[in-house]
Amino acid sequence: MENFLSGKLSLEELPQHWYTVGGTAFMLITGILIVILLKKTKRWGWLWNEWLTSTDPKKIGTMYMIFAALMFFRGMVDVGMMWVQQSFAADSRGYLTSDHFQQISTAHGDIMVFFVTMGFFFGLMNWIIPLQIGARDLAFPFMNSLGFWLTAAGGLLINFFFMIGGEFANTGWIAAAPFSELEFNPGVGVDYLIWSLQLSGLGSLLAGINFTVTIIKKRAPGMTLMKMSLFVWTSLCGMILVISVFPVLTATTFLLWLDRVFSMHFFTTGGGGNQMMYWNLIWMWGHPEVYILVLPAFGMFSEIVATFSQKKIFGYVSMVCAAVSITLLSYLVWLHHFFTMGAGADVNSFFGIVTMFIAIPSGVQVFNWILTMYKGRVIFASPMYWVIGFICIFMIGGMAGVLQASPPADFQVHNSLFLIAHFHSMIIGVALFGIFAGVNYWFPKIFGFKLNERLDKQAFWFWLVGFFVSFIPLYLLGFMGAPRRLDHYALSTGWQPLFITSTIGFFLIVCGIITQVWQIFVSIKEKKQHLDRTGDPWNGRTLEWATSSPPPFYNFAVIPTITSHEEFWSMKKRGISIQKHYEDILLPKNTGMGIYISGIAFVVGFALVWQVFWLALLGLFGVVACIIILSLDENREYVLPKAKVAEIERMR
Amino acid sequence: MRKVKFVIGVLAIVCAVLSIFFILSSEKALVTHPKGIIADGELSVIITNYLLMSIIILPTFIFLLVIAWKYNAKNAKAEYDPEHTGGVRGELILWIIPSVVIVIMTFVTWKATHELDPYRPLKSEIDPLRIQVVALDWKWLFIYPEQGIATLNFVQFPAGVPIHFSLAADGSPMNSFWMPQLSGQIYAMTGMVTPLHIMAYETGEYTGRAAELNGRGYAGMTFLAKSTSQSDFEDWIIAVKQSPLRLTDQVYNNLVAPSEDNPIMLYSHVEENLFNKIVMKYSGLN
Amino acid sequence: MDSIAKEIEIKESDINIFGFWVYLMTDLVLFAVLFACFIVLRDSTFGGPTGAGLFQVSSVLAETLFLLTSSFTCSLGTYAIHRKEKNQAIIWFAVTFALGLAFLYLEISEFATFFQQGATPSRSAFLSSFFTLVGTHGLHIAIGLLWMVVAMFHIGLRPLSPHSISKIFRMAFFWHFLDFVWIFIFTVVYGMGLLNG
Repeated sequence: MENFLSGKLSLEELPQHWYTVGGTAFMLITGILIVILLKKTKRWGWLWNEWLTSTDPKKIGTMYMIFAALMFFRGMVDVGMMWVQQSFAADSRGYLTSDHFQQISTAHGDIMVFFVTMGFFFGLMNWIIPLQIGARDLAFPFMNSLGFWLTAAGGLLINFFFMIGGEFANTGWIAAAPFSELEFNPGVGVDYLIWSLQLSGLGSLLAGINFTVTIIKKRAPGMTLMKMSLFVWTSLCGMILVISVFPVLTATTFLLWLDRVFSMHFFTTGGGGNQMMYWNLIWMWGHPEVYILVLPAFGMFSEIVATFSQKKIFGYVSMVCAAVSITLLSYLVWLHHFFTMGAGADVNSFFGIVTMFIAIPSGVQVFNWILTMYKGRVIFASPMYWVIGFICIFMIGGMAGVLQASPPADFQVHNSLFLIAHFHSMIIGVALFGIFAGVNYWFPKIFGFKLNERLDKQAFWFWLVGFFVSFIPLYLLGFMGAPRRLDHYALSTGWQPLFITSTIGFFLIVCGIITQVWQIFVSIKEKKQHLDRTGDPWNGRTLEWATSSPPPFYNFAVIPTITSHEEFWSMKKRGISIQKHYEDILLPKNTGMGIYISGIAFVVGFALVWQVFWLALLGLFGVVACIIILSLDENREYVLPKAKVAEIERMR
Repeated sequence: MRKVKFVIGVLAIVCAVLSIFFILSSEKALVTHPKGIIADGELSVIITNYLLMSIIILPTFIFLLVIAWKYNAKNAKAEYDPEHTGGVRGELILWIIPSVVIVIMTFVTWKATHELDPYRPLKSEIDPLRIQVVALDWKWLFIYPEQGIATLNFVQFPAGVPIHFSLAADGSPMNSFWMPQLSGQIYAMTGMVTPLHIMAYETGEYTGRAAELNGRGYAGMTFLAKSTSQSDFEDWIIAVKQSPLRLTDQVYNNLVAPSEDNPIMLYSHVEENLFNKIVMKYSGLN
Repeated sequence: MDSIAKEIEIKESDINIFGFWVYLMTDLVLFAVLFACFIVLRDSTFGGPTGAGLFQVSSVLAETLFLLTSSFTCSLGTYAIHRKEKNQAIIWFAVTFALGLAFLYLEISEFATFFQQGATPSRSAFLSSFFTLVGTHGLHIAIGLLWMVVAMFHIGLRPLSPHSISKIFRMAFFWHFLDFVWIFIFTVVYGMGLLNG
């Protein structure tokens, strides 16, 4: 604790390297451009009132998606830098120092997991879950806004090192101890990781509580658990995982921070610290986390397959059992992330065997998706392309996973590029493909017009081929004895051609992303040709398609009563629509408190990174004050009278 | 045009599969070319598991592609049954199929995990050669307690003789000791000893490296492992004992300080009980 | 407006309370991690002070007495709210507050004494985990006390509505939850520490 007033801050912490100057310049220029744009179009008020302070989950969902896309851009820049380094660094040190490379690798992991994948999923869930359960909003609208803004604050903090500090953590994305301790990492990089994860972790926890309570308590009358759509089921499973394990991440990284700032000894090499305990704790969070990343995607795929096969999902009950059993099993397998730490054959076998059991419900799901297409009439709209690609990658990546579940096999491939290929197969093939499929599928519902399908299919091929060109070499590199996170290697290993191949695959994927961005622009331009006038562009089966596209801000003028699993499909078959008996509607008001609290939380996080404790304390008091002010405010909702509802409904 | 795309697709897949086989059969694919008993056993596990999984995965792939093609909406000839959702019996069968394979794999896993346990001494009439390994930032120190010598970034042992490694670390975070051609990896940490039992089949030179990120010198933290005949090994010991370098406490303390890309060093003398002292350093009892 | 009033009623009595339970479960997981760390590290004294050497039975018993009693008086306050008796409620919550404050005072004194004896969190892993576990509980108590003050203000200066009643119930749950956690701290940390010493 250098200095009371300024903590560890000093003028030397301003940008000095080419990449910190570059990153800072990029962020500042982008920020300035946005400010200029808003000033010119006089849209400050609109932005604040219509979007930033909104408690409407559809708006919050869109903001999550935009935020995740921005972070995706940052994460992909990281990937490019790493691939280029590895392509050149055979018998050479390349263009990045080892330390810098390791920082990029760490940032890439944290950004993609916490901000991109979770951001996109929270976005889609905000859009769709209330609509699918027949609710108007989440259980806690303000907490929804707060959760988003805390995540955004975390995203700002993880990028803030560019401007002040110049270093990020170099420890790998989970900041394993004791490498992340003060003894080996005295700088602020690890602290930036800790506090950006604390902020976004809190945001995720709040969102998890919110979605859990919403799904359990706010379903439309008649919708029993076994009448919920599969996307809601798998999201519920994912959210239950969130609420049970994110506190473990919060506690563990907080203890690491205590070690670093108050010289405590939880995970240090000396002082009685137990480094293995960090690994156990962080993976007790980490393993369920990866299932949080894939479970919602499973549900999305189930619905997309059913809709485009024009057939009910095969084995609904099995699918629910599969999701639940994957959820329960995911709590019991964490040790498979460190079989090599030497827990002994009995313990290793137990965790290995339980891990293998997860393959059973996973396999059942794949069978059920295929059997849904069987005797269906499958329309290969672009979302279905992503489904087929997903199933192929899921099977290859899944085999790699079950292989690693066997400890003796894992001893050879642990921490190798084989492992990297496995989990990227899951994150890209399952989570990301699910997001792309979900966005194309639900875009017309939220925005009122379809996305250009031809461009989506082109993007798909770039992604699929690019994925295989990038990651098959990594599976092979693992068997060639190449560990992960290497910034240079000997030419004699024979690895270089494979790294270069992977980099070519990266560029194919970049073409895919460019196509997707282009698709958005083109679709907006061609909006009128693809308008969704009926609210049901795909002949859908679930409740969200019963509203207009886009839905009114209150989702449903009248909350429907549910009689079957695929309520909308059944309504269409019976030729009925939702009753028109209007009532007054209670809705939450907009509020800027989410932004204020998160802004202060950002300052607290920053202050704790730099050990400016008086500022952190002040910030904490500020947060508490805001919460007390909120609690005294009894006017956080308003009533939309039924006459107004009728008027809006008439005009649509 | 569709036919052309289909043919290109099939060709691409065939090329990919051929290159995979080509690469895995090259000598550079260390994991598929084991030179020691443990790595050999681990490769058998890998192959067995892949074969077992293929029983389910290969047919599933084929079903996926056939069904997606046949039940395409454009194919008017295919049967359409929108209510076909499977009964309880059908769903149960689908659970049983993967369960059977997984249960078989469970038995294979239990057996293999115990047989290939790094902690398990190898069955042999020959007494194992004991070598102590200390992971430092960013090099590997090998101590031969019975011979009284030590080496840096180089380890030599006789082929056909079981080797009992005891691993620890000093001044370095979690480390992983990996010689892919001889055995899977095991972690080396401060304050703890992890054992690893291996045996090389024949003479040869093998790569060893660090497999757990531990700082800027991680990528350069490689070492050379060499197996020779028993007589060559004994000659080598004698030669090392002539080395002018001695691993005194002073020299060792300098080694603990971080350094990268260290050249191979051979020490003719090593302090008594050095390894135990290194391990006990972290227990606070001195 | 009937449906609105009903909706508010459900929201306050059902959804908000359920959501608070879910949050309390996440807090329990947080404490579980701290307990797990403590149990793993309880013998890692690294040559420094042990629990048996530090803990004072009288202090711990007093803290426990205060906290348990405060839970009882908190229930009395909640019962008074249930019967819409504002003044009774304020009195009982004030007593609860005083007892909670006494608990905190004793705990801070205990920590100060330990510090003076050289038993600081950076001395050993055991002490790191002790201070963090008990300290985190103490921090929660402090937040509970603040919440109680705000609640008493609410009760005193505003009419009781379903909204404010629900908030007071949640505050009481929080207080009881902290008492529940203390029972584990009392047993696992102090009880077992003194017995094994």
